[in-house]
Amino acid sequence: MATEYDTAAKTDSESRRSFLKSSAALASIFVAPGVMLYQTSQAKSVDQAVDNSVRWGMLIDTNAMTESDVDACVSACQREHGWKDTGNPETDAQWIRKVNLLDRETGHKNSLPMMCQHCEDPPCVDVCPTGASFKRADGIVLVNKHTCIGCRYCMMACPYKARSFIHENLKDQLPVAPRGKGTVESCTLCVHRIDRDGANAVPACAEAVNSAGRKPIIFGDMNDPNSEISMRLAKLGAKKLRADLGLNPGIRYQGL
Amino acid sequence: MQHSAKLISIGKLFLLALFIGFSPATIATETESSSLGNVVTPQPVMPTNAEQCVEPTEVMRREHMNYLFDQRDKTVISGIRTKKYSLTGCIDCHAQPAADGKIVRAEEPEYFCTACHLYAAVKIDCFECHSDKPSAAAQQISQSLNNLNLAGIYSGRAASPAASAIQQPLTPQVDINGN
Repeated sequence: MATEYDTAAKTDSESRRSFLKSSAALASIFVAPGVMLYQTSQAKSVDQAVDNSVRWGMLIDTNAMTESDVDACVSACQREHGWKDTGNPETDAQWIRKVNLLDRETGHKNSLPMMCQHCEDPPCVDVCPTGASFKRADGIVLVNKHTCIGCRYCMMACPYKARSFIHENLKDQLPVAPRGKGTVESCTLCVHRIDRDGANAVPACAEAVNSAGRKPIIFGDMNDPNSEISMRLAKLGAKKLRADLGLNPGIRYQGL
Repeated sequence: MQHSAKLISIGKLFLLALFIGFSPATIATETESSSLGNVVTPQPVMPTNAEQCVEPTEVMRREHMNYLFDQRDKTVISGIRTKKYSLTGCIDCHAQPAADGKIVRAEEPEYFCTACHLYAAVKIDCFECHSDKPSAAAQQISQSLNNLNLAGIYSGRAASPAASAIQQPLTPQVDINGN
């Protein structure tokens, strides 16, 4: 009796297993494309850790941006994160700044927003003695201010001069952007928005200049070939600033 | 007999000494000195908008810092932004404005965190970077700062009377005894 029962149970579980296997195979054929689309258009849930399946990047079309657009980017960033100019340019915080370029030969003028380029191989991370300067799995380069000792080595290492140091005591910081004396800071790519909205997130600077008919700043996942930023990059290409350094920045510029 | 009489007189003296020791005058002096010793247990203001914290009070008293440390690393490094142990969540509940609408700042003894940390001689630096006000209030103040364009506040210099009005006074208006 016992053997009969065993055999019956075995056949039963085997058939169930094969059924599961085949249905899984079917599911992977028919559902996979849908799942992919679903994953890229949805934000991760709040309890989920970020992973390297995405790489956030930003594409800036400098020809579509006027100088006042760039100013709008800067002030939007200031409002979002609560930093501002106090008239001391040597020590003021500077998460994003305006850079004006002039080609003397053709007279072509460019105005572009300059900030942390969120490198794939960030030199600021290489040099940080405490590990406070780090690259998040999804490609965003950040400062963990809990471990930052304010040595400013990263500021020296950054070829884009993207980081600044807080010299004075601050009051009334914003909940989304904790900032304090003795730590280094830079553009976070509006990480609080990204954690909330995923691929649908719009960083504050992009929000300030993009409108219904116009989109000079595109934010998105550069790992996803179907994202707007990837398709634009594939079609039109873009420049990496100081590409000679081989840092592979996540911020790309068109029209330079 | 003589011996026992001597004992009794010693006993009487002892009683007398005890009596003097506990006379009202002595008691008054003792109470005074104990209040001068400042042994006053903290009375943090409990939030009224929730019945229960994220963990039982006993657990929170001992473990809140561990929850916060754990959560901060998860948030900063892995982007996990669950509300349960987030500092913003704590502040949204525990840093409600006082009954008269006054926003209590972290430096003031009536602030929820500061009440106990003063007593326990614990110096925290959370609020050197993090906002000590509920998100809504923080947003409002920052907006009004932006509108007034008071650059002075940022570098620690009050630019105008309006600026100092927004910055809450740092001197406590209520002492730790609640007087």
